[in-house]
Formats: sequence, C-alpha cells, structure tokens
Amino acid sequence: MSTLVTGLDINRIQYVALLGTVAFLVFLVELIRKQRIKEAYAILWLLFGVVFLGLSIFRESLNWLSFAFGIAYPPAFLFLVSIVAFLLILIQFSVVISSQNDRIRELTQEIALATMEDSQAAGQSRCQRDDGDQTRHRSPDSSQAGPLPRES
Amino acid sequence: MADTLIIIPAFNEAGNIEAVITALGTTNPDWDILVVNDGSTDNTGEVAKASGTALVANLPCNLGIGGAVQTGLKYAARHHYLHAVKFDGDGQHRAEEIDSLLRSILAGTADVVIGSRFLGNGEGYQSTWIRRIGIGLFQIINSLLIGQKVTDNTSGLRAYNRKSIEFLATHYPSFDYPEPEEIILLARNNFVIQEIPVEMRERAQGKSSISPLKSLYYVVKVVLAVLMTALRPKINITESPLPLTRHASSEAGPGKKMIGEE
Repeated sequence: MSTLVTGLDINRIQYVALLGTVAFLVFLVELIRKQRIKEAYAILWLLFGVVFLGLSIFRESLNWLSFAFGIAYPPAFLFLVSIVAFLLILIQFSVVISSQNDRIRELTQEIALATMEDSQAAGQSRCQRDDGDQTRHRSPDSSQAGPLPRES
Repeated sequence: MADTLIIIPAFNEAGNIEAVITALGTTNPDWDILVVNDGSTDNTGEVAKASGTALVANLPCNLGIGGAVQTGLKYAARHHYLHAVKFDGDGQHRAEEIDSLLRSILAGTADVVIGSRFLGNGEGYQSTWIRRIGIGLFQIINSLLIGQKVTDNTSGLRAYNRKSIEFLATHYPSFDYPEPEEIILLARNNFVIQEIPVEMRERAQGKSSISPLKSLYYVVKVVLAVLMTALRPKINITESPLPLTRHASSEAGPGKKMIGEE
C-alpha cells in the first residue's frame, strides 16, 4: 500500500531499514564465520542486529513500544535502543580489555622468571656442578661472572 | 643462608641501580637481591647483572611498578624465602633502614612493615608539597577505611613476612600506583600492618616515573581503587593456592629453605 505523499514513498524507509539490517547481519555472520570475531563477543552485536531486523519488519511495533515506554516521538525509541546497545557492547569491551590485561601481566611475569631461572640453571650446570644445590639462590649469571665471592 | 629477598623494581634506573645494589650488598651480604627490570629502555638490566650480586628478571614489556613488584613476590613465594623487602631502584631508600623493618617481621609483631617518611622527626626528603597533598588525602581515606592510621601510604619501602608474600604473590592489587591499595587490601584481609620511621633521600639520578601530568590520574585512580578494594569481600586464602612452576615443583619441599647454608 504505497501511497505517495508529496512525492515521498513512505514505505521507502522500511526497505532501506530492512536492507541495512540484513547487510549488517550478513557482514557480522561473515566475520564470525571467518573467525575474525569470537562468538562470545558477537552475541551482543547479533542480539541487537536481530532487534533492529524485527523493528524493520514489524514497523508498527515501534509505535507500540514507544507508547509503552512513554516516548512521544517513536524514532527516539530507536536512538534509545541503539545507545543502550552501544553502551553494553563498550562495557563488554572494557571487561575483556581488563581480563586481557591480567593475562598479559601474568604471561610477562612468567616469561621474565622462567628466562631468569633458565639462565641460572644453565650457568649452574656449566660452572658449578660440584657445588650442587648450594648456589641456587645465588649467581644470577655465573656463566659470565664466574662463581660469586659469597661462597665461603 | 638467605631467608631474605630484596626486591628492586626498576624502570630506567641505569644511573642508580649499581649504587643501590652495592649499598645493599655492603649492608648485608646475606640478602639475596632481585632486580625486576620493568621493560626499561635503557640498559638497567645489563648494569644490574654486571654487578654480579643481583638476580635480574627482565620483564619483556613494561608492566608498571605493581607488576614488577609482584614478579619479585612470586619469585620469593616459589623459592621459599621467609621475608621479602621491597626497595626502590632510584636510590631514595637507605639500605641501613632494612634491618629495622625486618626486626618487626622477625619479632612476629607485624605481617607487613612500612617505612614511613612522616613518622618521627621529619628529617630527610619529604616529597614535594603538591605530592604531600595527595599523600594527605590517601592518609585520610585509608585511615577511615581500615581504622588504622597509616602515615605514608605511598612509601615503597616495605617488608613482608612469609604469609604476606604468599598472599600478595597471587593477589597483588594492580599494575600502576599500587601502594595505597596494597595497604587496604592487606588490612581488609586481616594482615597486621606496622609503620616505622625511616629517612628517605631525593632520588639520586634521572626522573621519577610520575610526571606532574600524571598526578591527577594517579589520585583519581588510587582513590577509586582504594574504595573498590574496601567494597570487595575478604579473600579466602585457602581458595587460591600458589601456582607452582616446574622449578618449584621439583624442589624438596618445606625443608628446602635450608639449602644454601654456609
């Protein structure tokens, strides 16, 4: 029932919205399929993609929903949904960044300690085998510096 | 034998680190010294290693002081040190003060001992006035939250007993500016904190890693972190056993700290 109002097809917005949402979802699914986005981080994007797809198909629902929320101007409801979506996704990013931060810290520390202990162990087996375990805490680099003066 | 590990977090301290290591070795040759080189862009790591008396752990990227200190505490935990001392690499701490910090640890009257610039007669370096405003703020907040007056919340000179080494190796609060947070975390988990007066010097060479521009971030971040730490529940220590490395797991167990006896 496309009616022309001063030359504007009022259904055009629905086609544009549908096309846009479908393109967005296809792009998203493609990224997940190619493993460019982990499923866990795609859930929120997909969820809001589907919400927008629903709103594009059942365009009347926008009117009911904004009425239900007490919003006088239905398009404002769209902005509300978008902003909530972005906020949630950004917060998820902060959570993920923080957890990555912890993991990187952990890994960095382990690398530093393991490297140090390996070079200690290497130095020990080369130069101080007869000292047995006694220098475990000593001689950070006995391969270069030789036995430390603290052996008494 | 070495029961005590001195942990020196160092970021771009090539000009100071050698003197710091030498001073520690002269004060007490029985301490083990671990320099945690926090991704320095200068040759801090090589200079520290060249001293021949310090262990050097090179972090492949800069973690911030908290990450560096935690590295040292992990090492201390895994290698069964009984005490650890955190000591700055910039030369502002005095090696002679360590014994008085350790005395309270050895006496068993405290789990953590903090060297305070502001107790005692107020001699030595007391920081710039703008920093002292921040330090005053932390003092008020921390005192309110833990019901104990800690005068020098940002002091980096601290001694830990075995219990706090194990706890902090796993739960060290954060990567940047952790000192005030560490106090809240420890107090919230029923660790006994004690302060003793120490004198500090102005850093010998180079620049502090805290530029004036970062100060605002510092204060905001620390206040937030401190409040959040206070809101978190007490950590159940038994629930978080220390991860063992291949090195630690191959060691002899509880009797291990006798190794290295002279």
